[in-house]
Parts: sequence; C-alpha cells; structure tokens
Amino acid sequence: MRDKSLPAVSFQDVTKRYGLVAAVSGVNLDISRGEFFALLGSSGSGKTTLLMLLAGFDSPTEGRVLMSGTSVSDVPPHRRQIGVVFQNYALFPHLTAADNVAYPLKMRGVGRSEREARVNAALGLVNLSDRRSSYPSQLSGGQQQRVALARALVFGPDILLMDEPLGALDRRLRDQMQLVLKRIQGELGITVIYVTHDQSGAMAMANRIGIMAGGRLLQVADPETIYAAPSNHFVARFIGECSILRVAATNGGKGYEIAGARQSLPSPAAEPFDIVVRPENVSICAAVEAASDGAFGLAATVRDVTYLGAGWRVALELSDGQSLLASIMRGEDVAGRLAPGLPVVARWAPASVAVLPTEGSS
Amino acid sequence: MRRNRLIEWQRLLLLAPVFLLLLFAFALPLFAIVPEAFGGDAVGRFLLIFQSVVYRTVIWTTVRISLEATALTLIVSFPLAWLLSRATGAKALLLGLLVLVPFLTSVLVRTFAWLAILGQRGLVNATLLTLGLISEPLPLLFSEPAVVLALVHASIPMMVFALVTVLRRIDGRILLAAHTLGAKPVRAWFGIVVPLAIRGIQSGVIIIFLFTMASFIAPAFLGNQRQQMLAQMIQAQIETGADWRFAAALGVTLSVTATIVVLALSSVARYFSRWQNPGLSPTTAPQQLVQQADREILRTSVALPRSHFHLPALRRLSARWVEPAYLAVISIFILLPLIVLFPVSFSSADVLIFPPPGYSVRWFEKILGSPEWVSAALTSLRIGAAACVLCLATAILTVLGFGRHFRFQGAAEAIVLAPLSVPAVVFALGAYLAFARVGLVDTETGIVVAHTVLIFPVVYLVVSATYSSIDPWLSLASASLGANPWRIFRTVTFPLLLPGLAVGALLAMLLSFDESVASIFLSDLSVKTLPRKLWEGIRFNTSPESAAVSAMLLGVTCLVVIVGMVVVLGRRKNALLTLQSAPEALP
Repeated sequence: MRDKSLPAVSFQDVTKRYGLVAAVSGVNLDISRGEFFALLGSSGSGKTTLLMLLAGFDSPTEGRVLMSGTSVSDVPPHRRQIGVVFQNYALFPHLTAADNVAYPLKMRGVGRSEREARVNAALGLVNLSDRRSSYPSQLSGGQQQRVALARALVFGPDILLMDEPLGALDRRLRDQMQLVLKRIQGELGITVIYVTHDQSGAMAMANRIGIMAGGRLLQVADPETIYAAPSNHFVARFIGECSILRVAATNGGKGYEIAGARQSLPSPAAEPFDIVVRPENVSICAAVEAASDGAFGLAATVRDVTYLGAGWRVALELSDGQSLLASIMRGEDVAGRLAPGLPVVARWAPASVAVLPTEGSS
Repeated sequence: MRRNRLIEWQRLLLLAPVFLLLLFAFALPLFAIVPEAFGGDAVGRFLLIFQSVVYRTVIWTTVRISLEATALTLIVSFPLAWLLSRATGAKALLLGLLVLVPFLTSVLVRTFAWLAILGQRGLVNATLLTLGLISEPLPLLFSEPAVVLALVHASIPMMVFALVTVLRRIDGRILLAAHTLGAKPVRAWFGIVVPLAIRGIQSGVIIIFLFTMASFIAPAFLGNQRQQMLAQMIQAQIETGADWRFAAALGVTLSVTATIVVLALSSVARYFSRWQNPGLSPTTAPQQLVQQADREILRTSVALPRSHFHLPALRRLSARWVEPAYLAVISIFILLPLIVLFPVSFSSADVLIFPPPGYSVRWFEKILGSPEWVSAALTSLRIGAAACVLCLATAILTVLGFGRHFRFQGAAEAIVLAPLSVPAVVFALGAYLAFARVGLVDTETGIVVAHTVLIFPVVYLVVSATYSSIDPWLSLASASLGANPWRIFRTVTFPLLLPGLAVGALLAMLLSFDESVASIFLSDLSVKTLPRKLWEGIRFNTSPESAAVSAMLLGVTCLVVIVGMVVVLGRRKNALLTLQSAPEALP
C-alpha cells in the first residue's frame, strides 16, 4: 500500500502560530525513507514544535503534514505509528524496563508470545537484556535512554523521532550512543528524524541536516555541503568556527579584493557577497618571510593566541580592521614564534572559501 | 481547530460534577442566608444587632479573640514551620507527625482536653498545688485566655502547613549570603526569611483568622457568658430552633465583619509584599550617576560596628540550646492535650479529675456497651466512607478536567477552593437553612453532601499536587506508543496518581469522621454522628465518658496515620530493596 518512492514525511508550507508568535513558519521539507535526518537549531528555533506537529501532539495553523503521501491532520497521535524518544526519555516510572518496552505492544493487542519475543529482541538490540526487571529509577541515564529507544522501536514504527536524546548524557556516553544509534538505524533501515542543538552529533550521524532558526528552515543539505558551502550567515556561524569577511567583488563577481589583495573565485557569484573562511584553511607565516611574489596574501597582526592542545587558535587583525581566525597545527613553521603583536601574512586557497550573499541584501 | 474544540467539550464534561456540586451544595446554601437575613423586619433585626450593647460587645469580642489567637499562632508556629521546612530524614518525619496528628484530630477532642488540663482539679492546678506554689486552685477555665489558648492550639497545624509551603522554597544559601554580608543570625532571620515568607504568612493569617472567627466549640466549652462569640450565638439560635432569620442576620454580620478584617489584613500584607509584583522599574539616568560617583571610596573597607554586648559564651550557648528548648516547649504544648486524654479516660472517678484517683476501664466498657455510641460511630463511618468516595471521584475528574494547560486554571481553581475561604459556621448555617427546605437536615445524605463540599478542596489539593508531579511527557509518550486517551489514563495517569489518591482518601475519611461544625448543625435526633454525640455529651456533663470517646477517636487517628506511614515508607523500602537485589530472572 505504501509507495516506496514517496517521501516518508513531508511538510508542506507548515506554519504554527501560538497567538501572534509563529513558532514555525512556512516550512517545506521532504524526508525520504531510510534517511537519517538531523534537525539542528538552538533552543526556541522551532525544531521541537516541528517534531510535535509530526508526532500529532499539536496541529499546524497552516499547511499540511504528510506521511507516505497521505495527510495526517486527522490522525490522532496514538494512530500515527511513530516511535518517539523524548528528551527526558519519559519512561513510565511505575513499570519495569521490560514492561515499558512491552507497553506499545499491549496497546496494539499483541499476543503474549510475540510480545515476549519482540521485547527480548528490542532489549537485545540496545544491549539491555540483563536489566529487564529494573525500574527506570534503578537505571543509569544511558540505560534509561536505551530503554526509551527500545520502547520506541519495538512496534516497528515507520519513523523514529528523537528529541535531543543525548542531551543529558556526558560526552563519552554520548559518543557511545551515537555509534549504537547508527548501528541500529543501519540494521533496521528505519527513517530517523533527530532533533538536536548539538552540531557535532548531527554531523556525525545524519545523512542530511536541516538548520532551523526563528521558526524557519534555513538550509537543508548533507553535512559536507552545510560545512563547506553554508547558504547564509546564520548557518555559517552556527556550524563550526569561521570568519565572515567583507570583500569587494571584482571582475563582475569572478573574484574579490580584500585588504588590498585580490583572489579569483572558482565560480562567479552574484554581487554583493561576503566570504566565509574556516580557520583550518588559513595558513600564516611571519611577515619577513613572505615572499612578495604577487601571490595572494593578507598583511595581518596577531591579536591573541589560544593554546588548544593539538595546536593554536590565532586571532588576527587584517590591515583593514576585519578580524580573521586561523588554526595552526603543531609542527608548522610559525608555531613557535606566535605572540600578540607579531606581523604576519595570511593566505588561503581559492577553492577553500564559501561565498555568501551580503546580509540584508539577500 | 476541530480537535481543539472537541477537547474543550471533554473538559466541560469532566468539570461538570465539581461545578454542579459547588453550585447546588455550596453557592446556593450560602445565598440562602441572604433572603432569610433580609426578609421580614430586616431593619429591626440589624438595628437590634448593631445598636444593642450586648451584640456590639459580642462582635468586638469575636474580632479581638480571633486577632489575638491569630497573632499568637503566627508567632508560635513560625519557628516550627521553619525548622520543618529545613528538616530531613527522621527529624522531618517526627516534626511532620507533630503537626499532622493534631491536625487530623477532631477540634472537639482537642478543645475538650483543655477542660482536663485547666479545670479546677485539672492538670495545671494539680501540679501547682503539689509543688506548693499555690494554696488553692486558680480559676483558669471559663476565661478569655483559656479560649485563646485552645484556639491557638487548634490553629497551629494549619498555620504551619501554610508557612511550610512557602518556606520550603527559600534557598538556604540566601541566609549564608546574609551572614557573609555581616548579618547576625537573628537579624538575617527577620530581615530575610520573614519578608520572603510573606505570602505564606498572609495565607496562614487569613486562614486562621477565618477559622477562629467561625469557631464556637472553644468559647462554648472554655469561655464564659461575658465573652460569647458570634459563631456561638448562631449555633445557639439554630440549636434551640428559636429564630432562623436572626441566625441568618448574625451569619451575615459575621461574614461582613470577617471580610472587612481580611481585606485590612490583605492590604497590610500587600504593602509588605510589594517587592513581589513591582511596577515598571523607575528610569534613572545611569550614565550620569556613574560619572558623578567617586569610585575611590570603594578602596577603603567598612568594618562591622563593634557589638555593644559581646558575649561569645552566651552566643554559643544560645546557638546550641535555643532550638531544642523551643522544640521541647512547642511539642509539650501541642501534645499535652492529646496525651492527657488517656489517663483521664481510664479514670475510676465520676468527674474529670487529674490525676485520676484510680484507674479502670469502666468508661470504655460503658461506651462499647452503649448502643447509642456504637450506632453514632457506625453513622460517622458510613458518612465518612460516602464523603470519601465522592471527594475522590470529584477530585480526579476536576484534576483531569483542568489538565496541564488550562487558560482559566487560576480562576477555576479559586472557585474550586472557595469552600476553604468561607467560615465553616457560615456554610453550616447556609446548609442548614437550604437543606431544611428540601428535607435534607437530619439525614445522612445531607451531612455527606456538606462534608463533601468542606473536604473536597483538601483532597483536590493533594491529588492535584500529585498530578502536577507526574511528568507531562509521559502521557505524550504513551500516546505516541499507541494508547488512546482512556488507556493513557488507565495505564499511566491513574497508577501514578494512586499514592496521592490513597493519601486523599485517608484524609477525607479522617476529616469527615472528625468534622464537628456541619455535623453539629445538620444532625439532630434521628441521625447522630460521633462528633454530634460527643458535643452533647460534653455540653451536658463533662465526665470521663467523653474523655474515653475522645481517646478512642484519637487512637483511630493515630492508627490511620501510622498505617498510612507504613504504607508510604514500605513502598520506598521495597524500591530500595529491588535496587539492591540483582536483576531477577524472567517470570
């Protein structure tokens, strides 16, 4: 009955207003079957509202939510066949781990033997077979999280929704759970929608990432594209560290000029534009060593040096007053001599910059 | 949109019972007082009340005694509430019991006990005589101090409850902050804790004032003719069946007087709590101020002024002994009237004497052998069970009806809790007048309905507190796992509500069993509840028989409290045991 080619979920012009405030506005998004999709945004960006709309706990003010091509507006939450892992897990404190996992099966009238088999399988999937008779209060945070995951998967839902599922875990446990999640998604081939504000988690796990801010979906793309070619200032700043530099377009958008230096672009851009430079793409050398061979290079002064273990993060001030971040690895020539006040020359490869429309001109 | 409207219908359906109950059993009876009071020769009636010296004195006495008792209760209870709010473990349990047991004991019983303490041959006089401090008994009973003392004793638990809820929310570090800033302990306490507790003080003072204004048992047992109170006169009018209209007029007088005083108290409280809802912050020009300020002044340090009397030894002593001494005194004060009942009830004498000349079980034999007492007890039990079931059912429906995000929750809750803010005697009077018309006076149904109205708010508060402690995400999780609304309630909400419901049920049973005001008004010849029978017994003859009944009532209260505690603690212990044991094999 379900057409495999139709997207598992699609939001069509979805807007949700609470009073006059739009928590989500004009969202259009298709998520395909079997995809691991991360919805990334800071708190208040509307990502949880979008999840509530999909799970059916709230209905959109405008637009439609479709699952496998059918509108779900009239489907109550308990009929949507979506597994949800809540931010605080929402385990039933009066039921054991096994009973928590069996709950959705009981609601569906699954017989005892199949129930046992499925509960065992689900608990095995998350490596918790030995804690089946424990109450939630007797489990650690990571174990609770895995019970919640087993509970959301045990009835074979079409979609798994996860709302900041790793937010409450410490870093080591979070990395571990990311691996578990990825393995399970591979094993079951389920569509996962993962809501988070943790960009590294999203980068590590997702096939595609959607960035939300102010209730709008700003960019949807795979992790590499999001990082290398952000579509606007917000996305560029939200993902990783970067410097956004004001430049003057030259040659009808085929190149740019900054602080007296010129560089061409791999492909022409619409004017006016800014450029995004990631710190790891910037190389610096002391000003005295810089050969004046006419190659692209910006005169700059070191303002601040932060030691990070694997290297240094260097804040530079360009000759036109803009600031630029560079990260210097241990072993680079300039490494030992970095100190505030040092005059340097900064360079980057033409292909390593991303171009953004200047803010406000859109 | 369509779904939203549907939810509103469900809400209305769930809330219908409580609003019907409040309308027919609470609002209508209260309004029944008005036509009664203003019918016929209303002018003459109110002129009589406000012009005659007798009634003016009664009004003034009522307000005076109530204010005295309220102020004393506040002073006596505040430290106890503070200690309770900071206590943990066994100490919290004991302090909690110290407040809970008297709260759940009938006011009738607690007031009666003062007869055995303050009487001519009571505990105090006997002790003083034995010690040789006095040569003949002091006339302690039938005086204003005796009434105030009993009222304070009766009010302490309610005041402590009102204060503790607010005190508990005060962050203990704020006191440490005050100390690091140079405040002495007492100074920090009065300057920080008392102002922060102002909401609790306000609600406690108002609750206690309304309670004392409406009390007629203490003045009837312990007072004298010269300082009668309003509620006492209303009760007398109804009991003698003399003049309903006059009783109604007195009820209106009491309500109006109480309202005026409560409004005055509230405006005082509002003045002291104005920091809690400040208006727009006044705009000053910060830039200007900063430029004018001379920052050099911050380089010199300011020492604390040298204390005028600095006695480290005394301070250390007081720090160590103030709390235990206070706790000892307050515990004796709270528990003495309860404990004294037991020796008195085993007395072999025919009158209340302390210490008893000899011990016997004759009074218990007499009570248990008397069909009147036994049937009164059974009546009270039946009424308690019925009121308990009604309260629980209404409370569950109300809590579910309000749900989590109800726009009018504040207003609706105020309506639901309204019975708490009406003096019980005024409601009882209204219920008497209204029920008389539909033939409900002197019937068990009538008392059950009245008890449900009076006790429902308490049960609601307990159940609603439990409900709001349930993680709201659980019902969403349950829905996402395939449970429809009814199954969400059955499999998640109801099991998690159970502890609150159990406590609510125990409270409802006990409160109904001990409830004296409505019982005294609404029962007469054919239906006699235990409190009613006890009231008659004490009024007509203060024999150890009443003490024995009181002791038994107290015993029942203690038993229920202990059972409740065992159940609650037992559950916790079980959880602990399973935590320790290794994961068991599958069933």
